[in-house]
Amino acid sequence: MPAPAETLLKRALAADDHAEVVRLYTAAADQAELSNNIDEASFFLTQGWILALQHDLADSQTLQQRLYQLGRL
Amino acid sequence: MGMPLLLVRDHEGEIGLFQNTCRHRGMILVHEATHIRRVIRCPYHSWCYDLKGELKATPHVGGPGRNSHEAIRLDDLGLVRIRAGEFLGVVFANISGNAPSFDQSIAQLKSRWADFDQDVFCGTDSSSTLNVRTNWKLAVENYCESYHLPWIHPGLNAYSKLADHYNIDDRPGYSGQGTRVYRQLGVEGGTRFPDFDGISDAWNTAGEYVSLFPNVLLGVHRDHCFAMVLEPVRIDHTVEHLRLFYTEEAASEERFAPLRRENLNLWSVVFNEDISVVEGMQRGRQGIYFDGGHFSPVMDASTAVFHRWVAQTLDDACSPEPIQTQALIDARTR
Repeated sequence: MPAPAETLLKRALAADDHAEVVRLYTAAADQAELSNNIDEASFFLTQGWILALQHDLADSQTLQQRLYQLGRL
Repeated sequence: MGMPLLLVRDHEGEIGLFQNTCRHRGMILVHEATHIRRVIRCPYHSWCYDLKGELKATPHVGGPGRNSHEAIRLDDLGLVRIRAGEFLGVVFANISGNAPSFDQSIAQLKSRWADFDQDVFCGTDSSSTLNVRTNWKLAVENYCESYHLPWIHPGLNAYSKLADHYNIDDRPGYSGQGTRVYRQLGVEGGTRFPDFDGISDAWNTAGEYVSLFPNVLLGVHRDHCFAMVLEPVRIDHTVEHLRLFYTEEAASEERFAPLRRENLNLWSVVFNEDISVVEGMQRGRQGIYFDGGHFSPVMDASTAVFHRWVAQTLDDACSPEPIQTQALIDARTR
């Protein structure tokens, strides 16, 4: 995750802004997937999925589906 | 007892009681009352369980970004469920798992109090806690009978006299007493608590108070009920947790707040009045010549039911089960 995104992530985590945390993890996963780094993409997708699941955010199903398609579930 | 428990109410309104321990590394899952939206996430490695206790996610369990592993089977690793039942605002747990079913245990009292087998609500201003220097069983004994009423509760006795009371002593799992004279709060002032739904006329002027063995004291009236859970802390220290319950309207609406406070105060006075006698019995029974006492067959009959229950329970616990004896014999002969 690039440094600016890390900063945003820390800020969102400190603010308990769960939707923003999930969005940042998803964006990091998108970036990694574009670079064909599937391991890193799966890592970020997992982080986002679990938090979305915990907070019952709509993204959880999409993230779970992406992990499934990557063979990581 | 130190057992970590997690009590949840799921989206269907069903309660679930679980050991509050993650199946992964034994971490406490939830450490304070909270609103769980969808899953319980372990704060350590984020294994997630749904409100039915089923394990739903094991992030990175197979390595970073790999969320499954053949050695970790979700179906086998749900939360450990503890047997539980709910009645009159109290959740009853059976940690050992070997008690008779809750439905079976509560059936007779539920039948007696069928009118109260409905949702009851506790307001935020409707609870209190008492620390009492006595053994929990003496608090039960005292609650079972009305014999002490004229001397210990003169205020209550002013309108609900000893002669208005009757024993409830014909069942093995609970005992207590009832009164034929119950006066609602606020009758003269106008505002009074609404009755529970569908309550029958039989409760118009009646109230009943039973000890549900081992350690729950219950009371019911047409417009409110209460539960006192006795928490045994030491052999001579009991914490009494009192909760008053009402209809949803009476428990939540501000216009009933003064009445709720008055009612809590009334019951707090009554239970405070009992402290001197339950603590006094604790001290008195240290007398080495105390022989167990001499019960009135008329006035102490409900307390005698509790004594028999304690004796039977201890006897059952001390009796070796035949299968264990056989196992011991088998082991010795090998």
